[in-house]
Amino acid sequence: MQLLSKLLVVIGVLIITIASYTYWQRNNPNRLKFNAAAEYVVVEKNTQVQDSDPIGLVIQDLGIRLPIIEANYFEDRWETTSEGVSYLNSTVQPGEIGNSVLYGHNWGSILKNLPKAKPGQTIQIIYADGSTKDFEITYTQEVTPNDTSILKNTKDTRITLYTCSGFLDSKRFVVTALLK
Amino acid sequence: MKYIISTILSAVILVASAQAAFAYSAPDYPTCSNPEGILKVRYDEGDHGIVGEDHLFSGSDEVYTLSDTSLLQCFCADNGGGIQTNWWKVSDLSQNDIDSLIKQGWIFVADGAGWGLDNAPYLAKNNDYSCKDSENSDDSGEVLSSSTEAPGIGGAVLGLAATGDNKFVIAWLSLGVACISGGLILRRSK
Repeated sequence: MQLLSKLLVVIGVLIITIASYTYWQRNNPNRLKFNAAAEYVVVEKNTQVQDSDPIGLVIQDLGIRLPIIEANYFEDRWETTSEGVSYLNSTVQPGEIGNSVLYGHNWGSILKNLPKAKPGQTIQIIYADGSTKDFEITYTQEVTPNDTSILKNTKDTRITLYTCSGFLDSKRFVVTALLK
Repeated sequence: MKYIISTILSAVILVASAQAAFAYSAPDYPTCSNPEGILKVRYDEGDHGIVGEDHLFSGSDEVYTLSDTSLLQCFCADNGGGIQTNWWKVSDLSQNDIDSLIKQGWIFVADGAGWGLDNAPYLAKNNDYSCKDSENSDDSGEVLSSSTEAPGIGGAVLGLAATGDNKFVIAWLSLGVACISGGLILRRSK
């Protein structure tokens, strides 16, 4: 009985340590930020990216500067990354006519600040060749996870960026930005 | 003791898995940031009524017809505060169903004619959003952001990506605390 008691305490401490590390990993705001787009471009150049590929996302007003990682959706599974913002590669590239979909975790190191976004603020997309395009936030809205209408293609040139929000991540906070 | 525990567990599972059975299926509504349907009416400015509100709001207003029984109203106030109203014509619903939907936050409108809709009963639900009232909006009447299925995702997507895992962290913390508590209780009860 005493052995079981000790075992439970040790397992408990271990689990809490893992949970604490996980919490730190998700909320350390400096973990993923890149300070200079140029440096980031050099890194990405080594991994066979096209010049027109989006590689960085900046929302100056919210202090967000993150790498963009290509992601797939297949068999009801969304690829997600803990290294930046996911760009759904079955949608048009940011800056092309249509709806370009990006999403990221609501961790402190990624998009925790996104729900503070306001219409009129700018989202900048950085491309592999160092060029940039600015998008103006026109809508923000909290939706349910099954509201897939935000993913549908459009006739304008926009990016749709979203993250989890609400009690126990039960909602999605969606930011829509149109090319300036 | 075993009997009591299993009875309580069964009751909890039964209640948790129980779902009310209704004769209706609520329509799907797009968001005002990416509206669909046919533009029914559009006002770039002016005072507009919002169902459930007792005063007028100043700003732009658009209404889209989604189907024979559903419409989407997108109001964008001059200050950027938006209200999305989902309209549902409920002529075919029973009073019990309507009462049940009212409890879920829908607002009953006995006659839609007062809101420029058909002469029929409607339910309406408001959701807030933020918008940028476009000063140079196109008045052509065409829906600028008229949605089409995006290549590769289309109707196959059942939900949006889960981009948060607070549940995971909370679950692990709870499990850790439970283990330590269990261990300490065992030690004391020795």
